[in-house]
Amino acid sequence: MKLSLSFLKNYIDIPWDTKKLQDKLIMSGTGVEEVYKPWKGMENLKIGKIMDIEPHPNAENLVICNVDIGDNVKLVTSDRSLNVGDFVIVAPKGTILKNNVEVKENEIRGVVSEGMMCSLEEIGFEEKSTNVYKFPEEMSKDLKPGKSAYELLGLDDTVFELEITPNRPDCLSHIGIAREIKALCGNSLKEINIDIPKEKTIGKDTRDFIEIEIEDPNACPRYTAAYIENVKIGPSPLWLRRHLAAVGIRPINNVVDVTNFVMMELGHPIHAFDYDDIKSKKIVVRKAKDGEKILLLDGKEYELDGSELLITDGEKPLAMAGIMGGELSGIKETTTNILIEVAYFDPPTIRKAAKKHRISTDSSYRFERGVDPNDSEKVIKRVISLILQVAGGKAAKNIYDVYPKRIEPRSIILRKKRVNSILGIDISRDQIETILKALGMEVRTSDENFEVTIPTYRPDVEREIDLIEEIGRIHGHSNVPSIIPSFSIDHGGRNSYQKFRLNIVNLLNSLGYDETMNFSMINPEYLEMWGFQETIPDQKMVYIENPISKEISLMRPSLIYGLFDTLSYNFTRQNRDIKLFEIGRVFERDEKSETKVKETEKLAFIASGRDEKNNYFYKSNVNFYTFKGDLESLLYQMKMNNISFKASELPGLHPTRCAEVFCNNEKIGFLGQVLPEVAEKFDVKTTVFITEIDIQKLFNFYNEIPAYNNIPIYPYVRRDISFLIPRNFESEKILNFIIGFNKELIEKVEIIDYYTGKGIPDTHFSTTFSIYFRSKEKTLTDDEVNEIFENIIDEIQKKFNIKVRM
Amino acid sequence: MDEIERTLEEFEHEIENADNLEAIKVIRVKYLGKKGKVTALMRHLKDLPKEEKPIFGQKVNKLKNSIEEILEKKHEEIIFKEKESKFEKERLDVTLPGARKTLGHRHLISRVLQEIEDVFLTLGYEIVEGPEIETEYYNFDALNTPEWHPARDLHDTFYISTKDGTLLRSHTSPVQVRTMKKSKPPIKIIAPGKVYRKDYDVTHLPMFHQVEGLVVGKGISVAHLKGTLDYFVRSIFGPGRKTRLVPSFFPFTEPSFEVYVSCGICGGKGCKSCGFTGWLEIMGAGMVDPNVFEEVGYDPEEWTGFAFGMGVERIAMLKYNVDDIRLFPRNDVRFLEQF
Repeated sequence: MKLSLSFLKNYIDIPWDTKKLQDKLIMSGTGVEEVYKPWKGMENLKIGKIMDIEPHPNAENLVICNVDIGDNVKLVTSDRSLNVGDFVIVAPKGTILKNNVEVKENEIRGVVSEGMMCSLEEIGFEEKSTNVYKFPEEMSKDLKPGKSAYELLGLDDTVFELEITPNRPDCLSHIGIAREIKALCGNSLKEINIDIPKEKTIGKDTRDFIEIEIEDPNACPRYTAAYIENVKIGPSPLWLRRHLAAVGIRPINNVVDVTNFVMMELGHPIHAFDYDDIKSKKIVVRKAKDGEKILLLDGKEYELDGSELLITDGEKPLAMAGIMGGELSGIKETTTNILIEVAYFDPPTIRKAAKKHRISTDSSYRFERGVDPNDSEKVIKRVISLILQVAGGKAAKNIYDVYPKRIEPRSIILRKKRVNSILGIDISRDQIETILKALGMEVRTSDENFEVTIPTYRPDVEREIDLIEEIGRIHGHSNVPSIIPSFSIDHGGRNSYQKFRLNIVNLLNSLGYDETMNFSMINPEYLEMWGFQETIPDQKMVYIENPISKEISLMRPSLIYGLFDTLSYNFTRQNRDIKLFEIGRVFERDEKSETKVKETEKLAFIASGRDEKNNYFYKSNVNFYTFKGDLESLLYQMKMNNISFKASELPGLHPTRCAEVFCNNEKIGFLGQVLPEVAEKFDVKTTVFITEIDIQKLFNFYNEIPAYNNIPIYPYVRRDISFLIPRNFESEKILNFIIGFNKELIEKVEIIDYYTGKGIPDTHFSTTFSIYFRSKEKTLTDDEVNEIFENIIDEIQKKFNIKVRM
Repeated sequence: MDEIERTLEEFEHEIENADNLEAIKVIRVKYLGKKGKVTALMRHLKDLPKEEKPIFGQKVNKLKNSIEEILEKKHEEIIFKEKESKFEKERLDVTLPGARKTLGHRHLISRVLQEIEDVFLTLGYEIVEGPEIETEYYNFDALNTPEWHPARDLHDTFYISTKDGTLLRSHTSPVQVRTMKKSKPPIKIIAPGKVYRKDYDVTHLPMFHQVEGLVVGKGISVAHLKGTLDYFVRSIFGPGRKTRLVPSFFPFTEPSFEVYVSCGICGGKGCKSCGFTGWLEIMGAGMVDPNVFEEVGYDPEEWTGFAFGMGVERIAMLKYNVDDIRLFPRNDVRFLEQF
């Protein structure tokens, strides 16, 4: 909300300068986003009197005015409506007008213009002007050429852009902020004139002109109306335009401007109807009918579903209550008789309708947060008084107030002890009482307790705790001591899963992988691009119902999409040696879950380019085995035993370079080379490997502290053997066979060479196994080892039909 | 010149020209070997008259000693020279960069998350995690934000299904409710995690990270909240940084605060980066609203507590002067590898 400082000063004297006021407001909970002077740059605006008008020698559509602004200036204009003797607003060169337009001394078709004459648009007083502004005749006695127009128009103002939290609708007005200042400094509020001069009333009551019926008093507990006749609709006087301009409200006409002015002043939205459009002379406040339609002031037609509250003439809707008036009953140039509405509506009812139809107006914003139900009389009288002043006419002698559901001020018991125990301070009974009274509350004390009556403009103060907050914010929190709670809980720190996960992060960093954090939302098109849409059924997918854009509309069913996208981003920016990982959740529909979605934490990593980009002795690119090695290094370092791999075909991955990963025979993920044609769709023209592991499953098999093994006493004996292995054979079988051959004496088997190329048929690999023999009881002799070794070779050749490579 | 002197002169000449161990060996044999020149002189001794023997003997012995000494010296000299030339041949340029292992980097958000976690772990907190997809109940209703409360506007929420009332959590606060429903007080937790809001521009991400804190105990007051946040701010931003509690509003805390830290650039005097206020907003906090306690079955007369919630991206941006929040989800390796 925009707060005009000069407007505010009508309601309270402020003992502080602007900076201090800003601090005071902020520290008591009224957010101040910005402080600015809306007419900055216009300080030199002057009142000018046109002394002479002469034609422009070189342009038919221009004239040259000699204007007295103390000195005589020549001003060129295209406005032909000006007359000698008119008083105008002159902007000398250097003036900054609205939208940062700087006035310069311009040569216009050969004649120098020493400034310009302003329209109201140029000083922000109206949306669109067609002519230079001429002061009206009745003002001419106050107008002296050369005097400051900046002062005359009251442009020396400061505006605070306030951020009002949703619990404080009372602060959405100047009087509301004045009340805050009163609570902070103790100054009292100034009276607001709500007098209606007797001579400006007629003999009849408002109820002689209108009948009011509230069908739903829960949704509309109060409806107050006033009738005014013979108003003259026209533009508002300058002071009113100035106030509205300062607080950012577009001027419409004098009657509507008054309703907006009073809303900004007192915080209560007001609606004005053209009385003659209410043919039935009857107001019926009722819920809409399902399918009913209404044309509102924004020119749009809305179809209603029955939950909205309407102001009707008994038949046709006149306005959507508290939100916007109807197009057909609004104030127009021809309006002469008006009906003013000041109502109180149930906040959720207004909010539902505003949300549903996506309308947010100054009115709905206030009603849905809660206005004061008990200020209606004051508000409507203020409106009448101002309308009579700016639009003429005569008011009915009495207003018509229908209040079927009275809202009484609340009463709350406040305990002094509780105040101090929550705020952590020691504040006295007297201090508490002073603060509460300054906040406009009635206080009765008994011993250490208070009975506090809350004004109805404070719907947020409902409980003792709310009063404690009030005391805290007015008293200030700067003197609260700083204490760290001393109690401890049963256990703290990371749990074993959190440690396990952190360990993975650190190990992957050691293996050269950069951690990434990608959006959990992906582009559903990726599924198709990867060919995954067939394997993950669409009904398992978790889509966002109201996404920002399609690119981030599907909750990722796998980490690989986002991770690959990131690889592609980097690859296309000259970063070709890439190792990245991510740990994060993936999502899948699950009707059994409370949230209907199952979330699983996974790890994925991806690599392409050189395996060790900073190592010039080792120039190999990432390949299937180095990549698989990274995964195995991770798993073995974490003492994950019983890891196995099984050749597999998965969409998006190379059909003969893809494996599923198992731990204790449970599938925990996959690993493989990304299909080149998939990679190319993402502009990646290199070999990429990717793996994804379900780390929650993995954790089930994780032992935080593996048992200690004795260090061997006797030396090992090593024997190497190379086999020619067909490409479609799984070497894991040989490894398992050797390890199982003699569990007592064979300690481990390693692969020390893997070769294809010269001398090896292209249907085969040559793989060299290195077998370590060791006994726990003695040093093994060559003979003992050779016997076992030869048996192994024989049996492998027979069992798997595999030849030794000579 | 006698035989002995000639032999020495000859030896000295030869040894002068010897430049490797093999040559020395040859010279040694030539003079001191069984058929060597010195050995021959020794043998000649027995042919001399008796009175000449002692003098000659002495002279030959002296010659032998001299030769041995010179040979030894020369031997060492050559060994030294050979070593020296071997090292020279093996010389490496020690200024050439090492063949480095490539180490990976923590994502800045992950690093800052851990920094924040570690501060609270030293205070004995427990780390609790909750689902990223929540129900309206946990995300709003149980947090004193009923359906038609305007406070719901504070979060523009992504829904999975408005019909089911499932959504992407808009804050980590639902973890408070889940934790309190599951366990009895006292409680001291932090809840880090991803949160989602329908906002995407230079200063907002649709997915970002928060750390929620909740402490419930007997006699917990605003003073405890202040003490905890002071400790946190000094641990993360450095000693000397101040905190300030500014009254604000959140539906699930009462009183509520926005927490500010004194600007590290101007020290609180006011500069461009703090908008000339001297203070930077870092989180929301407050005393747990009694309605929340009632919702989870705690007696608000017996237990009080505080809660806070901070944006990790915000803390990271302040601490590491990151000026564009979109760098975090972009994952450009040229950004990642700076941390």
